[in-house]
Amino acid sequence: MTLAPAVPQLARFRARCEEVTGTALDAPGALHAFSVDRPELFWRTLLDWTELPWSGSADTVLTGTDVETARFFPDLRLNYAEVLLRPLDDAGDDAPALTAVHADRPAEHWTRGELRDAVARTVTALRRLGLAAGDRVVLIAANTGETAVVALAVAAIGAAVSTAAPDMGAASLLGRFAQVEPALLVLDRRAVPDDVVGEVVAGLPTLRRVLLIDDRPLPELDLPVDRLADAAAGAEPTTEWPRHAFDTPLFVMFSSGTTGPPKAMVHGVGGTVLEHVKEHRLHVDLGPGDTLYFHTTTAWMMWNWQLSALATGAAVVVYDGPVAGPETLWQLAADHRVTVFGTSPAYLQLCQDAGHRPAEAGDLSRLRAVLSTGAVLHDWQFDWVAETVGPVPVQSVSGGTDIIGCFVLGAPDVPVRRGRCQTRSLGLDVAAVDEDGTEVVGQVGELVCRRPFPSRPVGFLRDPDGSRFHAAYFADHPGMWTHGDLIEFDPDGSSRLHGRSDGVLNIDGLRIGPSEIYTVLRQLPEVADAMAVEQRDDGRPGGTRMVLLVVLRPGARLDGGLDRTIRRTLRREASAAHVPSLVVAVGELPLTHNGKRSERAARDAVNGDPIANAVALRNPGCLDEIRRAVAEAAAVPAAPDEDDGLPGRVARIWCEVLGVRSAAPDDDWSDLGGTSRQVLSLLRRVRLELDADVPVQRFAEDPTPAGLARAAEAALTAAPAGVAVLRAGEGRPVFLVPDAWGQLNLYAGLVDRLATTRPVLGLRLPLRDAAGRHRTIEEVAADALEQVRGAQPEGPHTLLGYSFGGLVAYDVATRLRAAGEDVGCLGLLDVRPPRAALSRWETERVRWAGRRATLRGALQAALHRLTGPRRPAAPVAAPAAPDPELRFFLGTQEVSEAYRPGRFDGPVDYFLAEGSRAAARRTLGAWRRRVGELRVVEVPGYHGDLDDERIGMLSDRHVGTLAAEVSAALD
Amino acid sequence: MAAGATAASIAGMPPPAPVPACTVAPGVTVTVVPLVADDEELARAEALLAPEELARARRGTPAVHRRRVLLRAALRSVLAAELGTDPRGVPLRTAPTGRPELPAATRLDAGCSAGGLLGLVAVGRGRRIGVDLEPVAPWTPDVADEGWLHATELRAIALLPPGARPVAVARAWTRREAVLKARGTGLRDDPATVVTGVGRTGGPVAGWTLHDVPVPDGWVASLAAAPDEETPR
Repeated sequence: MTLAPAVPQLARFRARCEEVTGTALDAPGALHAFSVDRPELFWRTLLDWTELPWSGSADTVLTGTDVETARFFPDLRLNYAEVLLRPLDDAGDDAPALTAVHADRPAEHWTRGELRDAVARTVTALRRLGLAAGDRVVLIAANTGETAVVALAVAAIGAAVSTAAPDMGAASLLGRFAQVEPALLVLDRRAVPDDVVGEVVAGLPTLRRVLLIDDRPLPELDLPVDRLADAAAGAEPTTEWPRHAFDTPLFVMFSSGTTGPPKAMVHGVGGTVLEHVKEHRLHVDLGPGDTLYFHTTTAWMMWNWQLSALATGAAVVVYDGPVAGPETLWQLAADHRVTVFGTSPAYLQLCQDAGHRPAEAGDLSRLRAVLSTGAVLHDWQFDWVAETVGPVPVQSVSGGTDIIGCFVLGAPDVPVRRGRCQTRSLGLDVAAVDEDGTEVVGQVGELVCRRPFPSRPVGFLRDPDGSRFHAAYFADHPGMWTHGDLIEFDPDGSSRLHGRSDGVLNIDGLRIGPSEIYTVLRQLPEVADAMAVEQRDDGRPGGTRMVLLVVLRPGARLDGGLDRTIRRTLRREASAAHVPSLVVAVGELPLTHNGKRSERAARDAVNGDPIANAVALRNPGCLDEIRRAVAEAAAVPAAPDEDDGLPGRVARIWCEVLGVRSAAPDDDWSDLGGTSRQVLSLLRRVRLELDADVPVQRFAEDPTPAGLARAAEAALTAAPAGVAVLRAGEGRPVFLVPDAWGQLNLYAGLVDRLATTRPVLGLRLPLRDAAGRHRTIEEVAADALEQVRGAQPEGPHTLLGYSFGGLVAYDVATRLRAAGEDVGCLGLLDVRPPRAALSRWETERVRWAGRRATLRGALQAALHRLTGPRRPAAPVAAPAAPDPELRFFLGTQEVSEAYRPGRFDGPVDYFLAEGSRAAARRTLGAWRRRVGELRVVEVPGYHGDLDDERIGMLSDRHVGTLAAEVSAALD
Repeated sequence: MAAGATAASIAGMPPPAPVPACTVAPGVTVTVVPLVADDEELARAEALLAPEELARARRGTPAVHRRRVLLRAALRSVLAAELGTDPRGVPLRTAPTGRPELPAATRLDAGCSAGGLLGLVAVGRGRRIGVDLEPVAPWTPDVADEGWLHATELRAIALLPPGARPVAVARAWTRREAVLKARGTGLRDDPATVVTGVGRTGGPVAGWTLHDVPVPDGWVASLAAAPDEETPR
């Protein structure tokens, strides 16, 4: 069932605009062009069409054309609470308005009438306690129903409210709220520790009174303290909703930049209302019958944004609990019949990585749109929503606290293109511009807004002459609002964000102000200066990582020790998120002619991009050095190289577990800060990746990389062939058959994500005999059969194998069937049939392609093994003499091709890598002829092992989908 | 827009509030030691250490160095109060296994543990003790794979709501390690051999009496103790 009106509100509004202008506005982009070319007509039409309650005069729409100074509707008056709570045609007093969901207690519900009544009583109570128009209120509380009631009551009076999430420390709270100079502090101590309360009250000298939302005992303070519930209990609901001038302060919000204290920006009631109602009704199509949940805290502008949705007649759900896992928010959406669900790329990625399938876990049939903001939403996340949530549009929206709204967002009449925001916000003249302020299309530029818009902040607090406000938004491109984001528009109006253009880093969706990094680094005498920049991470498409450029004092050298000290100091004094992926020493940092540091130029250099602002630099020469130094540092093995054999591999795992960059053979585990608890994860990695089972006690005897390597060596030599428990569980095991190298580590991601409570066992099979000859598939399978029977005497058996392992699994399955046993599930992961199994015609067709692939693949795979999966193979020349690894691989290939699979009368689940589709067309017949039923499931990615430059089906990127498909196929 | 609401907090670990010494079990005093100090405080603490203790501290990275100095100095101070002597004069030694040791005549036993910016020192009078402190880390299925939790414990953890698992795992670990440290073997014994159960507080395990040690949110600590005359091994 769909609750969205058959005709989107946007279409009805467009018809109204066509009536007003007498022009057709149905061409793509025509409505937006009208909205920015004729702003007075657009905003006046919007005001009338939305039927907002207002008084005064709307005759003057706009007082000028300068985006910095022009004002909207100087004679118009309205009341935020009245706009949100008034009875509507299709949303009367009995219609649902607000649902407050909690992790630890049942949800509370308010109808529109009940909510208006609660707000009206609170207004009376607050007035009685002395709150008046023009005052400012600080509200520190979680995202609950009471929080919304208080904010609406404050707004109704004509006072401004500033909200903060309760998890901030006292220092952060005071850094913000001291600027607000509040008259009243409203607190919910269910979420704020008592010592924070005391400190905050002491730090806000303008306070006249403290009001408590919770019902715990009143604290001892030097100020009058009241309980909100007591104050509102006997209060008559007010009937007065005085309307306030358009620019009357409504919300005070904060934005942190690269320098200085957070900026306290004031948003006016009129701009906020117009922008929100426009976005909600025209872009999101919210209205009566809808239920909106947008995951946010009270510290983020999405809180204000979602609250305003009440003005459309939609119901709003708020939640103050934690996100305990991937299921939390989807469960909430299902339980409360949410129609429009808003979240962040980080949460969607968490769900995807965990293999969560929301539509299977709960009833999301009412859901009609998924919104995402906060960071770039990647192409594959659109696919993931389509696959696991359903055929709903995914709207990636972006804007900011600074405009309390969105610059680019969704639209009901425009198709969604994966990886892109659908459209520009109506009435906002948004563009990407180059350094000169010239619009660019199809390339990345600075996000600007060129004409006045109503939700521009009224100004900053503590900025009497507006100079900070000017410097923040209007200094870079005169006459334009410069937002600090990089964006790229297509001619169709869709867009993609490309991170921050100022120094603020956005590392995988987490915003990090670099000033904190610089403050911490000041304690290190070796570091003279530093600059943190964001770099695209080639290893993870769409991912970013932090590169720290450091200028060292004379005599200092960036060796392993200093590198480690820098990372550990940042981790300790700031947080793990502040630790860079790469530390690079450079001679100079790029400076502009004015002596300003240019993070943007450094970032272009670090990414190997053309330098956009080279002419603006005093020392452009330093960029070549930066580019070179970063390339070298990235190429030089950051972690020990796998070329070093076992010690190198051990050292790499060691470094990754401890988060250090290098390891000397004699480094002591506990000297580096390793805990005994971490020992267990270290040894787990060694077991999984090196297949060496090192006992804890053995490690404890010599806790160094060298000692661990020796222990691993001993474990490998002694390793008896046999079954390895890859994941513990209950019931019949799922058997995994090793790959062409005899290893199980490539299954690590799959093992983690298989949705089953059954144990996952890996077979350990010798692939060569004592003489070093490769054993045939049949010989290997005989061993495998013995191990399978040893671990599970009776069927039905479940067997999975990738590539070579699939051939062995197939042979084991045919033997089990021949012995009259049940095979519950035989899963072949992209198992190309051996040459010996192909018909002459098939052989003919694949001969040339096949040979090329084998040779190229074998060589690449060998290089891949030698150089490690994360580094490009380029610097290593093709081995002149056949190296042992290549020889081993070719030997396995040979026995694979010689295998003649018998008949298997059961069904086979065949997981076909997308990248193998073309080859499979020619060869899958060989399997179909032999098996009872071949059920082919296509999964993303390439075969993997042979095509190492392309992303394999078992890679981190794709293994989630594979695991979900395999889990679904398990018997 | 501003940082995503679900993004992890990037604020540093909050400085732990100092917790005065408390009696967790009969004859055992546990003191919580915040591992934060400026240069001057660190220098003062270093002055309390014996030369070999200082040398060991200096082998560590800066954070490890600070932790070792502050913990050892705290341990010496607590023992000094117990023995009525100067911290420098406490006859504290380190066994080859790394365990703090005192002459038998003192009838005192000591233990310490640290995690992140928090440390613990414990002193047992006429009791052999082991103490372990662990920051609560997110639960991942990898933990099940590390092999130290018994199948029954894993089942119990699987039955817990996801939000309760991190603390349960940290509790299970600290209970184990407290026992191993009381035995004096540490990880020279396989932690898998000590099954301490999930969701239990206190109680006997392998002959040791276990106690929950109150520590600030974000950490879990456990104490294992047994009177000298019946020290199990």
